[in-house]
Amino acid sequence: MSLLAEITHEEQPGWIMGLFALVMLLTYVGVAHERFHKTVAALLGAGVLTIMGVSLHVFDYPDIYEFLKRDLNVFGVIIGTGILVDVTGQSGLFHFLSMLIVRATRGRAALLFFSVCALSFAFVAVLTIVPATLILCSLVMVICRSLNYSPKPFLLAVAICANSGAIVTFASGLPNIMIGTAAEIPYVQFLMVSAPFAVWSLIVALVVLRFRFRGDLPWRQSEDERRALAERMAEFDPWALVENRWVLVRSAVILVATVLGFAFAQLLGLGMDFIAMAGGTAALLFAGKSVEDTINKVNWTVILFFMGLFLIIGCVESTGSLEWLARQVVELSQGSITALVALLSVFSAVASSIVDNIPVAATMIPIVRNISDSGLPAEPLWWTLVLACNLGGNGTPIGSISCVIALYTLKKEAGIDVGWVEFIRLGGTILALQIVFAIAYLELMYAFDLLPKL
Amino acid sequence: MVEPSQRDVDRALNTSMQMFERVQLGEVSAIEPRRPTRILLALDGSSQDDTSTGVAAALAKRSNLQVSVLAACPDSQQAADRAIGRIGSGNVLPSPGDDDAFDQILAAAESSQAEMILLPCPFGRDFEKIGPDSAGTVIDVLMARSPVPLLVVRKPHEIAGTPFQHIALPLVGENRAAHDAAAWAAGLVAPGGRIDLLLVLEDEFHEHVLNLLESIDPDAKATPEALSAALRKAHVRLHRALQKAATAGHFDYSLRVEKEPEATEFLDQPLESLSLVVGALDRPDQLTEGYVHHCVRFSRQPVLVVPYG
Repeated sequence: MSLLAEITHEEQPGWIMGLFALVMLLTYVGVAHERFHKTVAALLGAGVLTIMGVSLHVFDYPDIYEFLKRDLNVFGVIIGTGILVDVTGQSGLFHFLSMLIVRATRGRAALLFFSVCALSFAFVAVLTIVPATLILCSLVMVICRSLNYSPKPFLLAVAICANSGAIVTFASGLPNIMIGTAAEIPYVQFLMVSAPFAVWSLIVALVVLRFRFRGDLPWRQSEDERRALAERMAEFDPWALVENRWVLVRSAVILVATVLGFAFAQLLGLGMDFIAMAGGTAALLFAGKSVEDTINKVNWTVILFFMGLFLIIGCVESTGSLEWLARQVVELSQGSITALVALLSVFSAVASSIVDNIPVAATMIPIVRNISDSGLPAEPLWWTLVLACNLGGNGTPIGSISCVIALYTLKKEAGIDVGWVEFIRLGGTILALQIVFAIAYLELMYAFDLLPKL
Repeated sequence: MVEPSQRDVDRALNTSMQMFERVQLGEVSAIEPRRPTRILLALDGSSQDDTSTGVAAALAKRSNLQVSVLAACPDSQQAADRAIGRIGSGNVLPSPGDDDAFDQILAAAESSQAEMILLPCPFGRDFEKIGPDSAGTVIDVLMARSPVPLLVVRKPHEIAGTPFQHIALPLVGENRAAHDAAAWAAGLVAPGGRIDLLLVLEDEFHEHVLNLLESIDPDAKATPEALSAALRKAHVRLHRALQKAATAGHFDYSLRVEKEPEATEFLDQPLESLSLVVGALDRPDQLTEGYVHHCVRFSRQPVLVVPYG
C-alpha cells in the first residue's frame, strides 16, 4: 500500500475543492492542446497548485515530497526500461526480427498485413509504444514502396494494434506501470489477466481493419503476382542489419533476463523498479563508450511530465476532492461492481482518447483506491483502468502516440492525410467494440472469481 | 503518452527507414578468402628482420606456403640464411646487384611469382632514426607500384602469440580495393579469430562534405549520423559478404562505424589485442591513399596493404 493511501485527507470547503479541480482540468486541457508542451503544462499546473495549496493552508510545503515519494518506483521503472530499450534498439535486434518475419511473408498482401499487425502487438508489448511504432512505421513505408502497396492500411493497423500490445504486460506502457505499481499487481498476474484480453482486442481490431480495408489491398493475388512479390522481397536481406552478432545476442539475453526478473520480482522480494534498473545497468555495462549517449537518451521529458502530474494529483487529493468524487461514483453506481466497471471503462476510454491516458490514469488511481477503501472489491476496477486507458488511444487521431506517429508518417512519407472523421469512424468503432468486450471480460472474470486477489 | 518532438520522430523515422532500405541488396556472395601460396620475404639486415621472419614462419606453419627470401641489402645475407632456418623451408633468391632495393624487390616478386611481399618498414633504414613521420622511400615506391599486397612490419616488436587472431579492416569513403582487402583479411585471419570492418568517419572528409553541401544549399546539414548511415549504405554489400565468409570460415566478424578519433583509438590497441591492420589502397584516390599511408606510418601492428589500380 503506498504511503499516501494511508493518509486520510481532511476535506476542504467545496470552493477549494472546486478551485483545485478546475486548475487540474485546465492543466489537462493544456496537456491535450497541441499549442502547449505537455511537460510544460504539467509543471505549470503543479507550480500553481503548490502555491495555492501552501497559501490556502491545504498542506505544508514539505508534503509535496510525500506526493512524489510514493511514486519514486515509477521513475525507476521508466529510467531502467528506457535505458534497456535504447541499448536493445541500437543493437538492431528488433529491426532484424521485424525484417526477418516480414520477409517470410514473401510479400503477399494478406500475410504481410497480418504480420505487421502481429509485430506491432508483440513489439509494443516488449519494447513499449514509441520505439516499436517507429520501427514498424518505417518498415511499412520501405516495404510498401518496394511492393507498390498503399501504406495507409498498414500504418493505420500499426497505430491501432499497438494499443492492444500496450495492454499485455506490466512494463508495456506507462499507464500499466502507474496502475500496476499503485495496485501492487505482480508481473505474472498482470500477464495472466491482461494478455488474454490483449489478444482478443487484437482479433477484434483485425476483423474491423480487414473489413474496412477490404478494397484497399489486393487480398487475393495470382501465382504470377506472388512470384514477382517473392522475388522483390528476396532482395531484402535481414542479416545485413546485424552488425555484431554478439551484441545482438547480448541485448536479447539482457532483455529476456529483465522480463524474467519482472516475472520473479515478487518471489525475490524485489520491486519492479529494481529489476528495471538492474536491466538498464546491465545494458550500460556493455554499452562501452556510448554510456553517456545512452544515459542522455533517458526520456527526461516524460520524467518531468510525471513529476508535474504526481504533484498535481497530490495537491488535488489533499483537498479531499478525489475522495468526494469517489463517493459520488459509488453512489451513482449504487455500489454495483457491474455498473462501476461499465462506468469507469467508458469514462476512462473516452477521456484517454481526448486528453492522454497518463493523466487519466493518474487521476483515476486515487479515485479507484478511494472506491475500494469503501469496501468494494478493487480488482475489477484496477483492471478496468488498465484496459480502458490503453484502448482509449484508438478513439481519436491524438488518442495515443502510436496513432500520432503513424498518421504523421503517412502524411510525411506518402502525402496521405487521414482526417478526424475518417479516423474516428475506424478507431472509434474498434474502441467501442473493444470496450464492450472489455466490460464483458471483466464482469465474467469477476463473476467466476477468476481475477487474482491483490 | 508524452510525445517525442517532431524533430525526434523525423530523425528516428529517417534512421530506421535508411536501415531497412539499405538491406534491399539482393543476392550477395560470401567473400572468397585469399591465402598466399607463395610469398617474398624481403630482408634489410635491421632489427626488424626477426619480426618479419617470425610472421613468415607463422604463415608458413598455417598453410603450405612457399617462401622466397631476398636479401635486398648487403648486410642482410646472414639474416636471409637464418630466416630459412627459422621458417623451415624456402629458398634464398640471388641479389640482383646494384639496383635500388625497391627495384630488386619488385623484380624478385615477379620472378618468384609471389602473391604477397613481406618486408620491414622503413626498409634499409633504422626505424628509430626515421621515426614515425616517414615510411621510407622503398615502402613509398612499393606502395605506388607493387601489383601484389605488401605486408609491412613496422617495428621490431615480438609477434603476438597467435598472429592474425584479430584483424581490423579500416575504410574511409568508397574504395575499389575494399573487396580484395576483405578477401585477404578473411584468408589470413587465424582459425576462430576475428575481423572488424571499421568504417571511419574522417573529420576532414566530413568537413569537405559539409562545405560542399552548404555551398549548394545553405540549409543542408550533413550530420555525423547521416554520414555514418551513408558509409554503412556504401559498404553494406561488403559487410554482408564478410558476414557470410565469417559463417563459412568459422571466424567472428563485426562492423563498426566510428568517428576518426574513436577509430584511431581502436586501431591503437596493443598487438596482443589487435594483430593486423589491412589497408585497402585505392591508388588514384587521394583520400584512401593518405589514410593507408597514415596507417603504415603510425600503426603498432603489421599492416597489409592491398592495392587496386
